[in-house]
Amino acid sequence: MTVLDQGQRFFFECNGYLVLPDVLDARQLDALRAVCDEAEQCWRADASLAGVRRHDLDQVMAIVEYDELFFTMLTYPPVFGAVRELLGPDISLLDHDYFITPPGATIHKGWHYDESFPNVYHPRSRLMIKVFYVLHDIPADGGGTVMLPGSHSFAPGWTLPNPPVPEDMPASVRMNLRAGCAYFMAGRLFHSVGNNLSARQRKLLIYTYGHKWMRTWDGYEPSERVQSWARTPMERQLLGLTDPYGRNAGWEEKEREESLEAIAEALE
Amino acid sequence: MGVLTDAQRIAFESNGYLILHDVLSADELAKVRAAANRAEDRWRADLSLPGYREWPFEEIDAIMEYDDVLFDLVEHPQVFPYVHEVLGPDVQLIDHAYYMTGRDGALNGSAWHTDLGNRIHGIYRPRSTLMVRAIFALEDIGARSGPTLVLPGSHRYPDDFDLPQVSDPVEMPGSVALECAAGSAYIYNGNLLHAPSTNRSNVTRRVLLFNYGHRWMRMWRGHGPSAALIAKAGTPMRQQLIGQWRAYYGTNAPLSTA
Repeated sequence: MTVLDQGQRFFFECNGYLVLPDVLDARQLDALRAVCDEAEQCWRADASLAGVRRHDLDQVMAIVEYDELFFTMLTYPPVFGAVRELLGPDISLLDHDYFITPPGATIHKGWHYDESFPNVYHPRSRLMIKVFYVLHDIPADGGGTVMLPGSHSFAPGWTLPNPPVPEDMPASVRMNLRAGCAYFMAGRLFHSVGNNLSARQRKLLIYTYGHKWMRTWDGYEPSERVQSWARTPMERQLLGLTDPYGRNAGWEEKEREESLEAIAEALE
Repeated sequence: MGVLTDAQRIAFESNGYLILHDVLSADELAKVRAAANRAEDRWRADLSLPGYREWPFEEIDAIMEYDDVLFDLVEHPQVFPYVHEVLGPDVQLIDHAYYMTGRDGALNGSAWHTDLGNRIHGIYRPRSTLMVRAIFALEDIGARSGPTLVLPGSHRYPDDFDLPQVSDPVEMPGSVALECAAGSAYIYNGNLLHAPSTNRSNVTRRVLLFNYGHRWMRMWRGHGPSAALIAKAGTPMRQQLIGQWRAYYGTNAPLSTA
């Protein structure tokens, strides 16, 4: 049984992104918000902890290191199962962050690709998928990610505009979504953070998945503590602890149930 | 300006391989052979050392760990610039080994494969260059001494290309045997279909293999550098090559100067 139905699959193939509405219930949202708040406090109190501290963005790097709930969410079946179907059975974790975009944060010419490697034919490759969990409602002017649908398949040499105001990109779409939704996009999709002209902070929990033969993003190598949380072959694969060119970890009914049980346990 | 001539660039792009003749001088070849012999002696004496031990196919894994002379080959000035040019400046080593092939090993048509094979998902292989192998010949490799067979141009085949079934690798239509003299090297795209062939000579085929990829890729299991090797990596490029460089961020290491 697949997680994605045919319509979702076609949508992703055509557009390079997909929204999964209401994948988190109120209890999960509360729990995630609470551990995000704790992580944020800890990070703000200790400037040596990795991240970006700018007037227009606070990025708590390596968020999985802060609480086991973040780790259990790595394999949250409704989202992870979908991403695995699109990336393949050799799925692995590349990076993970908590993004806080303050009210008034604006970005100038922010359009970019996450995935741009020499000697890779990107229009037909799929190296990364980035997942965003929306923890608080993002209004239309709240700085939601802006994406150019279908741009993941544009041929090399396309010259794309980079308008000073990200939302001015022709044919782009905004991820102004309610709390509890998730969305994900291909690493090759042209995108930008939006201008947060609202009075709210935009808060997103982000996991970037790739393939196990790819190195973990610099600065995201799992600590021994996080490694100790990995109990299943899939969790070990996600952390880069298995043979990068060997057999893939399974993800069958048993593994999906175990993942849901682990999340339920973490929520208690 | 690159190191590849236009003829070499077109040949590599069209065929997926390139033979580089006489890249090791006689003196260098003697030193490399001596180092390979020392490595072999040590490997045979210590069964815990990694590799494959089923004569007539033997393989010593992580060969650079055995000798500085073998470590230096990873950046050989007559070979590495070619690899650097076709893979790109983010080049990094994936694995490295010493292959010894004795006489009359049994092979069948299933020996045809690509190095990317089914291991690597997510890449559109026909138009990407993810890996390039460099192989140094330590003995003359003639038609009877088990040359690598390649199918020119197959690195651009679509993933669902229907390859003919053959009972012996040499029966593959259109295949070419990479014959070369000791001290030569050849490089090929990791997506090129290739196969070993049976060594029907009385001389053991001996080659050193360096498989390069990109610095954002993981090294083959068991091929990550030891602390001793890391300590010997004296240049930025050598550090990048053994995975001691940032994976994604920052600039690539510059080519080392002789």
